[in-house]
Amino acid sequence: MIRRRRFLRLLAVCGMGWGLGGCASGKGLRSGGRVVVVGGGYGGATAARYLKQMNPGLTITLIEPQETYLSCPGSNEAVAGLGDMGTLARSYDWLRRELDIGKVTARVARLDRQRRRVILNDGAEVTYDRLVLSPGIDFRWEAIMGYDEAASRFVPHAWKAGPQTALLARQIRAMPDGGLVLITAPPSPYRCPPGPYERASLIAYYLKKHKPRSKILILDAKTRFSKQPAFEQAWRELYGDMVEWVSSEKEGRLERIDAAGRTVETEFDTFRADVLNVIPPQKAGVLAEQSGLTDASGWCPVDPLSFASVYDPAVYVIGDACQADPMPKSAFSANSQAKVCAAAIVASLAGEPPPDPLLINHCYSFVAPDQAISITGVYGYSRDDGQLIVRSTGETPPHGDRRREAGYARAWQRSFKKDVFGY
Amino acid sequence: MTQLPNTHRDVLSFVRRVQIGTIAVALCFQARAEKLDTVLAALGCLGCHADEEEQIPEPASLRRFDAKEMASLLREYREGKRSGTVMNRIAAGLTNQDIEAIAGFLGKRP
Ligand SMILES: Cc1cc2nc3c(=O)[nH]c(=O)nc-3n(C[C@H](O)[C@H](O)[C@H](O)COP(=O)(O)OP(=O)(O)OC[C@H]3O[C@@H](n4cnc5c(N)ncnc54)[C@H](O)[C@@H]3O)c2cc1C
Repeated sequence: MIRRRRFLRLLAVCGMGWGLGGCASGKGLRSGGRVVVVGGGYGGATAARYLKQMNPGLTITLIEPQETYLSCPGSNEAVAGLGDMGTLARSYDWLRRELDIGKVTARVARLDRQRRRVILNDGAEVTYDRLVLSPGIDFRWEAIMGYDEAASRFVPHAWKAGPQTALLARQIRAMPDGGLVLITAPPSPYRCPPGPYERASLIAYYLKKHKPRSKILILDAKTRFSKQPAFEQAWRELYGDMVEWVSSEKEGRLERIDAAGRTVETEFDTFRADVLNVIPPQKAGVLAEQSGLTDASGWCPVDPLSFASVYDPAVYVIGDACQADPMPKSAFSANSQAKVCAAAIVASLAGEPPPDPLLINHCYSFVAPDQAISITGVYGYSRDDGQLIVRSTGETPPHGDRRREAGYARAWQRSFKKDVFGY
Repeated sequence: MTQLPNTHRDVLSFVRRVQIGTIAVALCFQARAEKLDTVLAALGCLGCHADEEEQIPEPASLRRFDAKEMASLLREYREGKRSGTVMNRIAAGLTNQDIEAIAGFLGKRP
């Protein structure tokens, strides 16, 4: 209660102190507008927060079917039995309480873009002036023969945090010493490019301690991967030859999966696993696809200046679902894009052009509980070709200070959630 | 190493205070969308760096520095005169104008 009163007082102080009434345009911060945000993950929750903070006069409705969001960052530790799932959870209470964001716990069934309405599963409708979509990913279930949603109930993907994460963790714990963990890594683009390799590292940490004769094999649809030199260095130093990575150049295409038999067939070989983790090829969340916001790639093309869909200027797509090359699909990117998008919407509702974006991605991967590596990119916007450009990039060198980075990575997991969910 | 400030501010976090206040300025006083650039550059830092309530030595709470200190730190990282893990990579992507904007926005007011 006190906090809320203080917050309102704060707004009042800002309003008077900064001369809200004296805006040149007469609109500025006071301009109202209804913004609906669909998807309360890292992209959507950040957008809702910063829209309201940039313009408290807006009415923000956040639509998300879950009461509690579970973070994927940190879920690879849960897979390896390090840390509990509770620390991954965040509620929407702070956003509701401190910022008066309307949280609707429902799934969006479809969009009526003509009438600017969002239609919920129960038939209720919500009208918007601007819509932000951050629905994350869905899987291309048709892409791998023998692996579909039904198969994922016993051969987990664990690429969305929740029951899938817990299932994979249980299987790792139950497997015999000397067993094989087989991870299939998807083709690009996909959510969290270094994620499969972080997962292999942390599982190796667990196995080395508890089941040291076991092996981890990564069958990759790619020929190289994110932070490869630093990962391979860490694997050699920490786990000897426990982790083996196989490029698609060597094994060829993934032909077929026999989920019941936990068997994977490539062009040249057959592998039988004790624990099979299939990370399937991906696309934008199906809502985006059904709403006509994706192109042939399966992802949503946007104007990177504002993240407005190229198909509809009132709809903005951020996070994993959008095409924001050369940014990777990460929580950090989603958060950075959400801030750019919020500023563009606030400007657009006030009749102003969007500001020049400066975007950052910075992803940590744990290679052991106390060692991490990272990759960083800073991105700007080129007015000449209307695209994002790389301003700088860098990654942990093979002999980088992994212990120091692990400390930063832990701090990031906490402060990042606070920037998104407020606590 | 610089000490964390031990003054305990009772009003909400620094982050919220500065963000709302300065965005109000950016949007209203100047009433020019370009000023949102400043805000955006600075908000990028908050994905990692906590406000003062976070009592951890690293990554540094942005509350420790005034605008001048922050700008010179960023320049040192960019020019490789100071070595960190991540900050060299990020600062390499910043222009002088970005650095001034970030420091001016997030630096402690005297
Ligand atoms: C194992 C793993 C580790 C990772 N580690 C990191 C890391 O260390 N750092 C990092 O930066 N990133 C990491 N990521 C990536 C990160 O999780 C994603 O990039 C991020 O979650 C993307 O945010 P988003 O908002 O696009 O999607 P999400 O966070 O998935 O949010 C989408 C939300 O939309 C909701 N939704 C979907 N459809 C509808 C609908 N029809 N109606 C209403 N709501 C809907 C969903 O319920 C969901 O809550 C990791 C990912 C994985 C799998």
